[in-house]
Amino acid sequence: MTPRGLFGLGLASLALGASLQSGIGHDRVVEHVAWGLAGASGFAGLMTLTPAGLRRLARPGFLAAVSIGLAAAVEQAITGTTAWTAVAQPTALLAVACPIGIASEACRPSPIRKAHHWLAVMGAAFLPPLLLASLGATAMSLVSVFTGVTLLWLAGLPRGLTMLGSLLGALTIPLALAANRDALVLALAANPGPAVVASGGLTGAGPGAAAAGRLGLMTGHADTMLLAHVGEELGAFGALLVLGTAFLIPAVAFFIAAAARDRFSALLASGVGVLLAAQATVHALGALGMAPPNLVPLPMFSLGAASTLPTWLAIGCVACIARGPRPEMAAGTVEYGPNEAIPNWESILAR
Amino acid sequence: MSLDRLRWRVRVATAVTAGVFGLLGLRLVQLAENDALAAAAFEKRLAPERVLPRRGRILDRDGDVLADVDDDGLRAYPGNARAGHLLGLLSAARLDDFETEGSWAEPGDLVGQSGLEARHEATLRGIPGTVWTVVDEHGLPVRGQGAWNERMAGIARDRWIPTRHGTDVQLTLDADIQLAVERALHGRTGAAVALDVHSGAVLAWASGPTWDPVALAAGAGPADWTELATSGARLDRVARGLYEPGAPFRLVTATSALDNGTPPDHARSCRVQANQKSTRRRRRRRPRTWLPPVEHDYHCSSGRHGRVSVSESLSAGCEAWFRGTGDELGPTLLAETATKLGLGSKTGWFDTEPAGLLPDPAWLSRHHERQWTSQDSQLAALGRGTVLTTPLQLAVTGATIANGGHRVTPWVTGEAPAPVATGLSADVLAEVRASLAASTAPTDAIPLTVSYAGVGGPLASLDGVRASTSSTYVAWAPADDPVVVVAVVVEDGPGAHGVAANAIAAWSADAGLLFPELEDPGVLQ
Repeated sequence: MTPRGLFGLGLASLALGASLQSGIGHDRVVEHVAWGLAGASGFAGLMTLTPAGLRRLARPGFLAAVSIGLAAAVEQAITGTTAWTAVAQPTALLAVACPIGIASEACRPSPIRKAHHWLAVMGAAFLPPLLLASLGATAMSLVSVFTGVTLLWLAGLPRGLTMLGSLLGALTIPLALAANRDALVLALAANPGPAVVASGGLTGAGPGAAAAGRLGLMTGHADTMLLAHVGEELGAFGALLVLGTAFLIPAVAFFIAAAARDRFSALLASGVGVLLAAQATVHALGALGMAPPNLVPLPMFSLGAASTLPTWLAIGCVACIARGPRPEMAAGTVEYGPNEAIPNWESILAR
Repeated sequence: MSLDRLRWRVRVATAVTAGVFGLLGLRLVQLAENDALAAAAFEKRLAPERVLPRRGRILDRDGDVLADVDDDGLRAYPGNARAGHLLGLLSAARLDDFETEGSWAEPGDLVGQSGLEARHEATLRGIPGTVWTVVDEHGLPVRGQGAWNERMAGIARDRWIPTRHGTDVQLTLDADIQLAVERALHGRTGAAVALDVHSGAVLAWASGPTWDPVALAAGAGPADWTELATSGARLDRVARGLYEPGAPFRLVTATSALDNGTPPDHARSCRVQANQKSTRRRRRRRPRTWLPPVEHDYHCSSGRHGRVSVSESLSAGCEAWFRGTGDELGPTLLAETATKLGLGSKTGWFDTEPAGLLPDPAWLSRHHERQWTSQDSQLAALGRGTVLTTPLQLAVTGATIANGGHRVTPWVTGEAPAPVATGLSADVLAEVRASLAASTAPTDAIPLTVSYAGVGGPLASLDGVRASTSSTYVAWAPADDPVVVVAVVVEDGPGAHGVAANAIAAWSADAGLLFPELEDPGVLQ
């Protein structure tokens, strides 16, 4: 898929999401569209970069996102709120920072001791989830943990390190669930999503005809169980279409990753794909009653800056990678300089 | 790791992601075809609204409304007759009402708590219906659109439960006779009941003091029940009030004597000298109770009448004949005849109805620790001392004598219970009726044109010193072919005869036998 196609897909998703939000009487449609346009602007800005330029911005971007997240965590710990740092959307930036940071640190060309390298990669994998958890975004932190562990596997870390990372990731999930076990059990039992989806049947009640939001059946879940709304209005067929679209975006990212010419591009694209796929999966699990209702939005469909902005930025990165190097740079040159040879762990271990 | 290996792993991740989304898609389809879940979704959007049924009316034998329901769903009493004790009261549902099988009562509902309102609660209350409406999270009705709205409306229609209003209950009560009795008994403490002599159908039922059901139409609260209890109005004296029958019990004594071989013309002397020896023996065994000193004559408190037969005794009110007869018969024969005539046992009206008391030496020995004496037999024959009955039992006795020996069971709704043959001779009962008819004459105060036969009067104090404080009366009409029997007890003085006369007058007017040119003869004193 070309970047233009990806951009168009994103706009279509934005439009469909806005229409669905308006169908349930949500009055934040304007905000949704505004953040979408801001994300689209970011997307366009990323499109002006080359993959090399994107790689140069990866580490500073990751550090900036982590800094904002850290500041938000400190403010949360001191004041109990994130009134000052919320404007920078720390949860959104941390969510997309994970794959960017892992891709950046795993492909650092500079000769450093392997221990520092491993620590840097592990830090990129687990620091954003920790900060997300400290900010109360438990579900997003679990998505981020899953993304990080998968990327560690994709990056080809030594088996022991990968296993350690997997173990850490696996431990965080039950720990996070155990802390709120009773509430989660109750929430799972009282999940209205399956009933709402079932009420739509195969063909749905009709666009705009769903009354679940107006009737309060989905009170508190209007944003986070969008797939259930779709199931009620457009039926199972409509929900499958939306789910298919939600799968298509990460699938395209995977295809772009598979066709990438270097490790960083492949890791970043696949990391974005894993992140978006994990988000969509956790959202669908909550909407279909297989998990408690959660605050993980459906990428490109759900309302809010926390969903729209980082998703557009992530897709922008993928589109930049898909665009590839400029023709004047490709001819006769290697994409990376001699000091930027494609690193591999064997060469690092040999140093 | 080489780039190729990385690409391979990316392809694996793609395949795994596709598999996960495929499973999610299957889950979607599974949910979409789950009718039970769809029904659960609609459950939360449909709110039931209970539609209370209209309570059934209570009608008298002619179809006149005794108790109705107004627009607010409260009891209304359009007529003048109240029959408070018979109809009963409504009150807020109690714990027992919620736990009764088949009950749909909810807190705040009015449920029959006494009388016929309670006895026929299941018939009168009906069954509530349910109307389903679509509501939002605040419980406010909403309206959906298009196909969804039609689907919701269809579900609401399918679930609609129609309301079944209460069924009217028709009584054997006659509102005109009831009104006459209530007016006559107004302000008095006592009871009056009128029965059909052949079927036992209740024609009138009044107990005083009573209450105004109109004032308690919205339901009796705890304070109301307390007030009714402390004022004595709550007691239904017709079926639960125990009294010495007094003169009406002479009918039992006369029946027992005639049935056990005493000739109708057998006469006794008023103030006959009794056996001295036996009397002296009685004197030595002076009883240790409240009974007055034993007299050694069959005396009569109403005067010296000479030699009198049963009919002359009834007409003159002479006690001597009955004292002597009681002495001869003894408690066993007296009790046996009384039982046949419906005394000493429940009439079947209430489960907690008192059975009363009949002459019983064992009872006397157990409760008063003394032996039965001749004086006890004499007093029992006069309906005093060890005899206690309810007005309803007296009415049954009167009906049994009036209809020739078939003991009736009082009833007010449904089908008449079959009378029970008592085994008493019809000739004997005819003789008793003839004796009573001859003794009853209309007076200026009671200008009834229909003949009636009755016996009763003030209950004289046993110590002969205190003034009488109560009166009883039992009568049937017409005297030659009885149709209605009336039993009256007035606790606070004379007047029982007058109440009975009013009841008979009302019956006569209803039957077209009395003063056809007057609709309402007023309260006869």
